[in-house]
Parts: sequence; structure tokens; C-alpha cells
Amino acid sequence: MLDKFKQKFVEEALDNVADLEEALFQLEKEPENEELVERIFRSMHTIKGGGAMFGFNDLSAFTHNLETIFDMVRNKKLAVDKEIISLTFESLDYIRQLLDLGDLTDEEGINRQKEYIAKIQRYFTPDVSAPAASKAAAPAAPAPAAPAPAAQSKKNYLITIEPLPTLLDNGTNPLFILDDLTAMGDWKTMAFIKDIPPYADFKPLTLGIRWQVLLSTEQDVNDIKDVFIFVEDECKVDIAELVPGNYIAESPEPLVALLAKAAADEQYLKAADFEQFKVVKKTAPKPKEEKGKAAADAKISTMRVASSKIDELVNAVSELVTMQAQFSLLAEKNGDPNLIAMAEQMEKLTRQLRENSFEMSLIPLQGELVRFQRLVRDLSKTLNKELEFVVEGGDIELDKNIIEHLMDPMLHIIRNSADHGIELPEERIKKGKNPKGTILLKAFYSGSSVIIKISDDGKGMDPDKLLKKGIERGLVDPGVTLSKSEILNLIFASGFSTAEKVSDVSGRGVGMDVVKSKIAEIRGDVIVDSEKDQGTTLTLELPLTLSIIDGLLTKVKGEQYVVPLSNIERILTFVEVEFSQSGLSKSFLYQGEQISYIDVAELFYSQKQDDAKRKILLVKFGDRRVGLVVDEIVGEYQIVVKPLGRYMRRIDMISGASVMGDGSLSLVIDTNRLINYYNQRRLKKKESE
Amino acid sequence: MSEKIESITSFKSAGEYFGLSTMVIRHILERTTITNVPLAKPYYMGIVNNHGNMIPVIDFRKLIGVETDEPQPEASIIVVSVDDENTSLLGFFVDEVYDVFDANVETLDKNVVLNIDNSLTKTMKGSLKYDDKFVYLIDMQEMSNILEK
Repeated sequence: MLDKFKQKFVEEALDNVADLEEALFQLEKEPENEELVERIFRSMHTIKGGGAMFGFNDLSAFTHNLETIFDMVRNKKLAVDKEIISLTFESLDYIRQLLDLGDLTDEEGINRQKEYIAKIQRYFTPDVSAPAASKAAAPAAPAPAAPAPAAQSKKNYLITIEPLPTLLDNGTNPLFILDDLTAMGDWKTMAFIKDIPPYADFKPLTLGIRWQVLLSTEQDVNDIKDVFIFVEDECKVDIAELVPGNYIAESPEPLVALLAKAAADEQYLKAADFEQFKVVKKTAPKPKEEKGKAAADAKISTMRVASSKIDELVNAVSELVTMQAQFSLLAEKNGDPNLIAMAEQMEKLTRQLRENSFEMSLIPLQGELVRFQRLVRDLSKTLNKELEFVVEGGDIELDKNIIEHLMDPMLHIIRNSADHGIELPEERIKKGKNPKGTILLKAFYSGSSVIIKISDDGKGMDPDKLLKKGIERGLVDPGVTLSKSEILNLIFASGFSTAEKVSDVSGRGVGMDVVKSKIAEIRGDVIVDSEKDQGTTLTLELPLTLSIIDGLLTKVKGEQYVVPLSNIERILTFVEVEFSQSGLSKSFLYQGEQISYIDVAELFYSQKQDDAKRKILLVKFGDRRVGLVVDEIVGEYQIVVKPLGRYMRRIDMISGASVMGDGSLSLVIDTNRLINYYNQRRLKKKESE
Repeated sequence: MSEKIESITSFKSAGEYFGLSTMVIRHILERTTITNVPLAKPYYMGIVNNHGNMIPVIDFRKLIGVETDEPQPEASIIVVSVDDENTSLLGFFVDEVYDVFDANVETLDKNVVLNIDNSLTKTMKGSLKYDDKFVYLIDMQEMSNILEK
């Protein structure tokens, strides 16, 4: 049980860290923004508090120190500078580590923690020898003199509680009332026991105690009255407001004396007794105050739900959609007008439900982009380049499964841009460019797909150089003329990396070919464009969702197969083309282009057919086109793709199955994998011959 | 003699009796339309749809390498899953679901003599006598590992 809470805390803390990171980036740009400082302080405070509550004591201790810095910034005792921001970024990494590790147990870790804390404390301990502190010391005023505006919101009350002796009869425990009261702020309580009879006459069910509570709280009189709401009739309650001040929490000498005297004399305290504290100076705000405020602000506008639950919901709704389609069909056949009306109503509801639940599985891209911001910031340091990462349209939403698949490819592209694309500042100045290089990420919707363009204003790619490398690597036959886009597309060929030497940042052997195949996995596409000295742009074209696709329903040997519409360029009839047999590969001539084709019936069922009524689907395969011959075309459908499970994983040219309106199943073809499979099989055949 | 009582669901295929731990069984479906999946291993009959889950179905006769023309009027699909994941659902097309009974799985006869494909022999934990019949007990985890390859 506790582990569950702990896990939740870690999740939430990681969110807080992410939020902190985002706020820090903004703070770097506008160091004077008080709102940002407040946001940072709050996030830290939440991490600290939660950490202590869930047994992350080292985390809590560490964050406390970090929080102190921002508390000083908040109170204008410290100015935000680059060093503080860098230190905080570093600290966030460390907080992530601590969240992962939990409390430190090994010596090494504990020492490291001490080092970190010492590093942070330099900012606020008046140690002259520390260079960082001297800089910060100038705006920093001595702490105790600082005004504490926050304490004013607290009020002090004297609450006198005189329960009837019969209070215990209905099971009320007066101590709970006291607990409720004391939970509201700082407190002192006194019990008056004069009315308790001597032991001989003592009746355990008769209450003889009266109380007085001193309470310093932010909440108002009505909140205090609410505590007594259930004992109104059994309790006489008097609430008096006292002079403001922090004396209840601090309990100075006179207060202690006052309380002791009242207890000894069994005399109620009076509001007037507290006039003497009027002059007491207010001191620094208590962190407690912050906590209360945060709680008051918190409105539940979002909820945390396990993503597996959303997946389940989406699955159930997809199932409902197919069931509903079957129901509508049945109703229509039946002809009963009542049934038809009901089916229509249900259709409306189902559609709404489907839209809602699919929307739920979408998450904004922005949240995931912060890590790239961080990456670029870190890279600019390691590469000695001036880099800026700009995001446009980060608020668009994508299926979380797509975002998961997108992170590695995007990371790779951005690394490439920073490492190979953008030049060193001197070089840029020589070229007459802004010494600061920009990596722009632009995301937008286009029809039923999402486009993400990642471009840099770096040196771009040199087609001549690429072609030379392509020939060296044996990817291009020398003497062949390639168009510019064909040359640029060489970067997607496996074993092609233009980095002169392998660097730490990019060029670890995985290249753009991996990016291409990763994106293809989620039925997306990558397009490259580059202009020498102007920069490079990589465009990712992605589907909105993975589970629903627009597909063309076809039939092969009586079985239903769906081909994603996004892969199909054209549908051809046999009359439009001219078949030719050149060596082993089967191909046809269409509009002057030699296109190889796959007879699906032959591949799947090893059956040759000579039916001239069959159709050819012209599908995209990289930058080529391949024909797929099918028996019959039924029509266009929107379908929900269901995976075939782990035992069918080997058959990857079928990406899943879909339930059709009449309850029958159709298989969804992954054209890229189908063509790859066909080519590999042909190669094997060739070898064995 | 140690005792470990487990519930066993037995079924008949190609004249032999087999048993599965009832714990791994998720559903028992009636014979229904099975959609063929091309290029799958020959013992796969295809997939069926059950509440939106696509379940691959294995012809148990073909799996153990016995092909008879014996009719299967009581044929059913036993749906199993080694874990609780929907992607691990697997159906066995069998001649007949025979009985569910409790048995001590510690006293299995380990010398299974069933003339089947070698790789599958490993999946048979042993046999036990029930209702005057030899029931070959299947280790579903082992079976799953082999089928997944």
C-alpha cells in the first residue's frame, strides 16, 4: 500500500522536476520574473514535503537547501544569475537520481550529497572565502530585518470550550475536536479540570474537563466554528480574536508564564491578557504558511490515471464501436422502427464516447519537448556552440504511443543538427550569420496527419560530398546520375554516416536509417531537405493515432485484407500496364516507369492466377513504388487495428486484424514489411538456386 | 509423499487425453469462424475475435503431429494465457473438453510415452490416471516458450 503511494509520489515529483526545468528555462530568459521564481519555489517545496513524508529524507534535506536559495531570490536577497540556474539544473539531475535511488546508504553517495549541499550553501552562508557568495552578497540584506508580509494573514484566537457533562453520551470524543482545531495552525491548549470530582465520586461517562485553545491560523472564524458543528448543542464555545503576532508559535517567556498562571489558578484566560504581545515584531514567514496557501489554491482540474486504464477504455470503446455497427445492421434488417431509432441513438452516443476516449489518450507534445530543450542547452556547452532551441506549435496533441516512438528519432535528429549542422560561432560570423545557431521544431496538423519539422540554420549538406560517400560505401554505382533529393535520401541508407569522426554526441553507429525505420514503425515518414550553408530540415509525417486507420479493403483468395490508404498512391487495372519479365524480378511498365510487383495471392497462398480483372495497388516503398496485385477491391473503411499478440509476432507483414461491420475479421497488411519479406525471400531463393 | 493438489482441465485430441492447469484457462469457446493468417506455421488455424482480442488458434492435432479424419462434433477452443496480458492469449482447437478435476501433481508418472514431436515432449510434465484414462499434463509456460520461437 505504502509502496503504491511512494510510487505515486515519485511520479508526481518527476512531474514537478519537469515543471521546474521548464520554469528554469523561462527564468533564464527573464530573470526578473517573480511569478516564475514563485513557481520554482513551490515545486521545490512540494518535492521537499513529499520527500519527507514518503521516506526520501536525503532528497528532502537536499531540496531544502535548494529551496532556500529560491526563498532568498523570492525575498529579493539574491539575484538570479547564470550560475544559480546552472547549479539548479545540475541539482535537478541529482534530484532525479535521488528519486530513483531513495535514501542514500553508501558512503560515497552520502559524501557526494554533502558536496552538493556545500556547493549550494555557498550561496546563502556568509562565507567570504566562497567566490559565488561574494557576488550574491551585494543585494543580500541581513536576514532577520526582512519584513514578513505573509505573517499578516494569520490571526490569533482564544477558543474557550465548555462541554456539557453529557457530551460523551452520544459517543463524541472531545479530543478529536481538539485535533481538528490544532491541525489549523500553531496552537497551545490548556485543560481545566477543577470540575472533575474526587475519585470516589468519579463517573467515567461524565465529562468534567473544559479547555482553552490558543490558535494561530490563516483560516477564519467560520472555519473554526465548523469544527464544532456536530456538538453545537452539547458544547458552549466562545471564540475571541487576539492581537496579531507570532507569539503562539514562538511562545515567548511572558506567554509561558501567562499559561502557567492560568493553569495553576484554574482561571480562564481573557483576550485582554494578550494585549501585552501587541508590540511583538513579526518575523520571517513560516514555510507552513506556504503549504496552507498551496492547498487552498489547489483545484482538481486534472486527474492522474494509469495509462493502462486508458488503454483498456480505448479498447473497450473500440469494441463497442464494432458491436454498435453490427447492432445497427441488425436493426436495419429487422425493420422495427423502434429498434432503428434506438440504434441511431446508440450510434450517436458511441461516436461521442469514441471521440472522448481517443482524445484522452492524446498528450501534448510540449511536455515531452522540455528534455530536448535541456539537451540543446547541455550540448551548447559541450560543443562550445551557441545554440537556441525554438518550439512552435508544441501544444498539439498526439497519441501517447506515437510520442513514445518519436522520442529517440527526434533526439537523434536534434543531436545531429547541433553536432554536425550548426557551425562554431567563429565560422558562423565568417559566413555572415548570427553566431547563435537555431534549431527550430515546428509541429502542426495537416489533414489526418501531424507534421513535425525540425530544421537548423547550419551548414547544410553538400550533395557532392554525400554522393562521394555513397559511392565509397558502395551504396551508389559510380556513373549513375542522381537527383538532388535522391542524393539527400542516401542518408537514410544503412551504413551511411557523414560524420568525419565518431563523436560523443552523435555518430555512434546508429544513423538516419534507424530514424527512418523507427518512424516507419508508427506508419510515419521522414523527408529530408537541405540547402548548403542554409541549413537542413527533416520533416516527420505522422498519423494522428495508431489504433484507427483509413484503409482500403481488398480480397485475396476470398480472404479480406486491408491496406492502409496512406501507403497507396494509385489503383491500376491490368489494362493500364504492360507486363514484362526481366530476369527474376516481375515488373510492369507504367507511364514509362519500370515497377516491380508482388502477387499477393502467390506470396500468401502459393497460387498463381491469371485473372485479368485483378487490380494493382501502387504503394510507396521508401522513394520507390511497388505494385501489389490483389483479387478484388471492396472499398474504403475506417478500421480499428488490433494486434495479433505475441505468438504471431513473427508474421510482421500483418500488423493486426480488424473486426468488420458484419463481425468478420480482416487482416491489415504492413506494406513496407511485406515488400521487405518478399525481397528477402527472393534473395534466399536466388542463393539456393 | 508430498502433495500438491491442482485443478486440471482435461481435453481430448486425436484419441489422446491431455490436461492443463485450470489456472491458465481464460475461456472455452464454441467452434466459430476462424480467419486464416497467411505465412503462419501450419498448425495455426488462424485467429478468432473474442471481445475485441485477436486470439491465434492452434489445431492441437496438427501440433502433436497427428492427422486423422475423425470427426469433431464436440470441438471447442480452449483459450489460455500464461500471464494476464491480452497479447498472450492463445487458443487450442481440441476435439472435446473432457472434464475438470483435482489431482495431486506431485505424483505424476514422469515417463510419458507419447509418440510426438521431440520439441514438444519437454512440454509434457508427466501423466496421471483419471477415469481409467492416461492424461498427459501440459506445462503451459514451457509450451508458450516453444510456440513463441
